[in-house]
Amino acid sequence: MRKFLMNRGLLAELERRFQVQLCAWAALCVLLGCSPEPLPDGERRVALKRTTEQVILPTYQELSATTDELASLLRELADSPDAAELADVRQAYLATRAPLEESQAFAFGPAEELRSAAALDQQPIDPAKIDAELEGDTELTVQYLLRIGANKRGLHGIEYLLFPESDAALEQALLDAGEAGARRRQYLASAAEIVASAAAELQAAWDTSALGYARRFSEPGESFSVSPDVQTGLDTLLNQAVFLSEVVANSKLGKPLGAATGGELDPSAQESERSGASLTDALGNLRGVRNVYFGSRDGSFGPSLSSLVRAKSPSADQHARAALEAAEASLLAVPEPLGDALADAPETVTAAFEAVKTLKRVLATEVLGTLGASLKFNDNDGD
Amino acid sequence: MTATEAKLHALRQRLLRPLDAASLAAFRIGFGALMLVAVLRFFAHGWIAEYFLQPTHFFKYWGFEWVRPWPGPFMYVHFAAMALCALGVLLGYRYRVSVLGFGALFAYAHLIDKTNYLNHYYLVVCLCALMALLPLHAHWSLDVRRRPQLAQEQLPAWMLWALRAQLATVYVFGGIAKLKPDWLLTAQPLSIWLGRHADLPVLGAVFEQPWAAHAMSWAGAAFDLSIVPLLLMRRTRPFAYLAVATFHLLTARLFQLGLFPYIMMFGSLLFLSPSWPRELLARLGLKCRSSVAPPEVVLCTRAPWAWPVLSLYFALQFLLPLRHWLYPGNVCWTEQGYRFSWNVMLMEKDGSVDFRVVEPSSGRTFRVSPLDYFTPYQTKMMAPQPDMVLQAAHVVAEDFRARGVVAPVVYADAFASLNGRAMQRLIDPRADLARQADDLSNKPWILPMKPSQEGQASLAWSPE
Repeated sequence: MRKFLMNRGLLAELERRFQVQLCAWAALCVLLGCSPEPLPDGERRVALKRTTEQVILPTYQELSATTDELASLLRELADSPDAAELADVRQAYLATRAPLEESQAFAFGPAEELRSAAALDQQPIDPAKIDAELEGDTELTVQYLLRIGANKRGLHGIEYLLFPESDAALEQALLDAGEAGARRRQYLASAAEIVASAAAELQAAWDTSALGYARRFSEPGESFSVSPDVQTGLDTLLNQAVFLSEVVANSKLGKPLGAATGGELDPSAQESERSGASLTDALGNLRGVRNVYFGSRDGSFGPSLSSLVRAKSPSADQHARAALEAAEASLLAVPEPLGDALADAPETVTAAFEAVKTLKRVLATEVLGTLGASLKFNDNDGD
Repeated sequence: MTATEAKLHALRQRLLRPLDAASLAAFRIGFGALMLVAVLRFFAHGWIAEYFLQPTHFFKYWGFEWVRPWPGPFMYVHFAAMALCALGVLLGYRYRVSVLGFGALFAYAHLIDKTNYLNHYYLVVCLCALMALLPLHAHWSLDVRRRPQLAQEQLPAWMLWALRAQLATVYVFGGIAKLKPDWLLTAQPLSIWLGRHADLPVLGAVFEQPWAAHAMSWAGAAFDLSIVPLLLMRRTRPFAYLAVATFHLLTARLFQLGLFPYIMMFGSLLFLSPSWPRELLARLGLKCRSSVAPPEVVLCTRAPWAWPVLSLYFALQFLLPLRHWLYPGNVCWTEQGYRFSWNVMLMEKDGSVDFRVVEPSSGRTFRVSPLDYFTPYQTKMMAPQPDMVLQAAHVVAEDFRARGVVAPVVYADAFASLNGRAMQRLIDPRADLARQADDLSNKPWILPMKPSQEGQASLAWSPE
């Protein structure tokens, strides 16, 4: 009997423990199973939204507007070459570069899905093939240019035709009353239309409606979101900034400087040699990084990556700001165009190269480390 | 018989005491299932191509330089074979071959590239090695159906204790590794990591509190250090296991830890009563033969080599995590003796590295990005780890030699930030890494970690 009672007591104790465990498990599952609820006032969430609304959307709007303007001018040129102002056309081309290069700081999502880089700004292009097309007899419609490959069009294709060796050569080639001139103008008009369409498509993809990428990106944790949480969105921005800094240092400055070839200068490795806009391009990239870091295009301060870093580590934020300023200042100190600077003042290009490298290091170590946003190029996991 | 001899005899008797084989069989089944999932994840995520086929250069483990990925589609065959072996472990079908095969294939795959090192991969290899010694197919297995003479309802206690000891090393050395100023005094890296989860319901608000990271750091260290004894004591066992489940579910939810939390949660079931699977089945209303054996029955191990092998194995398990004391400096900074030591979740370390190659004959300097040789993922993993930076420098040197540069000199501009500190140089920029040996000796070219405020000095490289 005593044994029976003891067993009953033991059973009751086991049952009680089991119930406690069951309740605790249920509570834990509820707690952990919930997807993150949007917190409207969380600074991280506001930072992500602010960066989307004040940086990404306006930049794409500007890109779309400037490429539209370029397409419109080139269409006018094709229709009535006598009335054209080539200087305005060239200026319209150059106006597209800044928003395009700034947008590289957030060239993920739609930019990848739509392969916008190829449609907008394929690099390098194949001038010989462009010349062959001009000398051919196929009608140079938009549909035809879309079929012939990205290395024969895009903004660099337009640059090739708009910025020949001299102004006289440009006028002679572009305003030629004969068939060759007409084909060249038609080529430019069609190429610009493709660029404008690609920019418009990109802007449309970042639509602010429920299914647009702007909401999908800036409102994480929802069923329609691309990111499961706010931090993943911020990580994406930060990692892209690191990547772009590396591209500016290694490709846009390092290659012409011959950094990887033992100092053999290579002006042909510039991004925009013919238009002389290589430094503007690099500066656009850095400004894109800066805009993303500050969450605004005008330098105004608010919830942003910068404020989040500062909250955790004022020194890391200070170092990032200093590195951004130094990189931009060193680029501005290089005399335009880059080709001449390489020959006449290579030390300024070297200084810019080092300053951008330092920026990349600060972003890749201190800033990423402060936000715990270790570069994630894939989703492998563990410790 | 002396008192010592008597104690040893008693210990031996205890270790040879027969215990219900159910929990060991359940462990085999669970382990096989988890490994099957682990392998299938490699297929599902495209990691086979990403980690083994796309890279052109790999970071080798010392002594395993000969391990290379199979050409063409054979890495897929390798992983498919691994999945079959995991299934064999799960079902207990040709168990010894399956577990040995799985362990060997798994180890081979992860020895290809140091980039992919994870503590739980190492744990999987250790568990496979131990499991290969143990007849975990003696119960609830297809092998028993095929060959009933293999069936054993009980197994000697040392088999259970061997696996318990393996899991205990993870917790205990993981706890010892946390007894560092960063973890205990500045609550790093948890201060950084918890802030990332501010939008979690309920917990997010807690994580934002300044004290939360400190509380969780101390709780984490206390958990690791105390959980083994708490699991071993009958009175505390249910609560300890609840703590295990809570801890690992929480870490699985908060951090990218893959299958590690689940391996530990499942493995910790070994600390419960050896009959827990039968009790659970009974509670669920499923009939299950009970294992009743006279306690005085002593099973013969029939494996005289088992004791020396296990003694040597656990001596290694004990010494490996302590080897970092042989090297100067902070192990998280130098990473000398860091791997295979259960240094779990100890650091947020980010790095950036570029190389300068000097051709002695001409004095020309080439600036080299590691991205020219390694994938972005490899580069990311390599940058803050000095031994991998050295290997990368050797790859660069070899390439320049192949390009006709005689005796190239390779310098590294390597910077890192550890646990929220300002970035600082990790490697002496004057050290010619092409001439540094890749061995286990101390690496004097790793710069000591400076106090945080000094980290910003000399960021940019200058020829001087």
